[in-house]
Amino acid sequence: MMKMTKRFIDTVAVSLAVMTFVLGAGSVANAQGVGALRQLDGRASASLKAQVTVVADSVARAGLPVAPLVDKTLEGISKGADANRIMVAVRGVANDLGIARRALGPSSDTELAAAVAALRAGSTPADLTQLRKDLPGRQLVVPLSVLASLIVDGAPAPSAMVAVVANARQRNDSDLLAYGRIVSHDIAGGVAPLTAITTMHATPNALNTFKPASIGGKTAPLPVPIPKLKP
Amino acid sequence: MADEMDDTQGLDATEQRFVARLRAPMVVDADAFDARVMAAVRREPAFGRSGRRGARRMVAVLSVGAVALAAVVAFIMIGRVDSTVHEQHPVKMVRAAVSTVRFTLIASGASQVAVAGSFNGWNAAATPLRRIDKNTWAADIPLGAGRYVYQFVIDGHRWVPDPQAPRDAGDDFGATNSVVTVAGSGSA
Repeated sequence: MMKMTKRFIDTVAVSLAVMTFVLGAGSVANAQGVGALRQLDGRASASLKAQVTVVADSVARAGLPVAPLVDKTLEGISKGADANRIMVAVRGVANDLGIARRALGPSSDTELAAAVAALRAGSTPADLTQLRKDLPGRQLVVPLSVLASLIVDGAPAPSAMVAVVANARQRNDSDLLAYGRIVSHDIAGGVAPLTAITTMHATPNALNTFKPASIGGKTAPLPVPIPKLKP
Repeated sequence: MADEMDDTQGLDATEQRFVARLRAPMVVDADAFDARVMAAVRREPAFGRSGRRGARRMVAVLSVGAVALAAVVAFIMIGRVDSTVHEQHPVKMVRAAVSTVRFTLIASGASQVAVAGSFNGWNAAATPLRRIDKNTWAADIPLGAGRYVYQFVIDGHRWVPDPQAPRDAGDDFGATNSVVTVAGSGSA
């Protein structure tokens, strides 16, 4: 009788484990994780895929997208990185996704990916929160992407924030992207980044339309406009 | 007994014989009865064996039930969490508009050029560029709204960023990716 009871308990325990597994798998499936992870088939080793799946599972449980992890894994594989290095990168992306979500609040997957890029460029989580607050109801993919590019190009993050918010308030996404391209062009041409983001030498009358913005009650320092450069 | 006699008065002879037979005193041999009962019990399968078989059957049924319950609960949970994720997008969604983006690279001496990035699973063979003049290579790729990172791959092994595009921060693998951002329907 004792043996029978033990066997019954064992079987119920196994059933509960199966239930837990199925539920766990469900959380990944929820974020299209299964589909995204399937991209690793035939490209990642079984061991690497298993490690990525573990991280993806916790990311999916947090309601975050799994695709950026898969993307980073595929990037590492294509570039010939070893599994350890890939996993460091994947965990970094997972961590940054969490930071971005906490900073932005409710956000689309594309916004989160752009926010991760901004964080990696040098923005702070507080910057992201402020951007959401300053541009309510707007998709932040383009503003975040331009912000990241400006910082990567050498603009100080606080000044880049001022410039992006001010321009985003006046321009649609296409024009904001054009602004980012012009600034990059100017910086590549030798204009100091801080100067380039506030004067936009490449566009006639740009200086007249640019208005410094106040962010969180503080106005970021802006340089004195300099004369237009000759092409 | 008189009542009995009275009861049978209306019956025919056969019926009266049946009644008399039924009313005859029955002799019960208690020892023989016990022996018959015990013999019948012994003929039945032992309790333990049949009990174990029953328990096994019960365990099997419960296991199948637990797995089925797990599947049902998982199905419900997936639906619930999925709807939660959808609720996390209250901000204006970018329309699923697709723009065609032209990627170009001037690469003298290259025999083949491809572009690999977050839009094609970083597959260096998936999107080859075509040569449009002696040293210029190009490919038109439809992309939805979003931010993408990429590099060109020259002759299958040399990864280079796009000199004409914004740079991303480090790629975690010791190189720098280029960035292309496709605008959605964001407004000023």
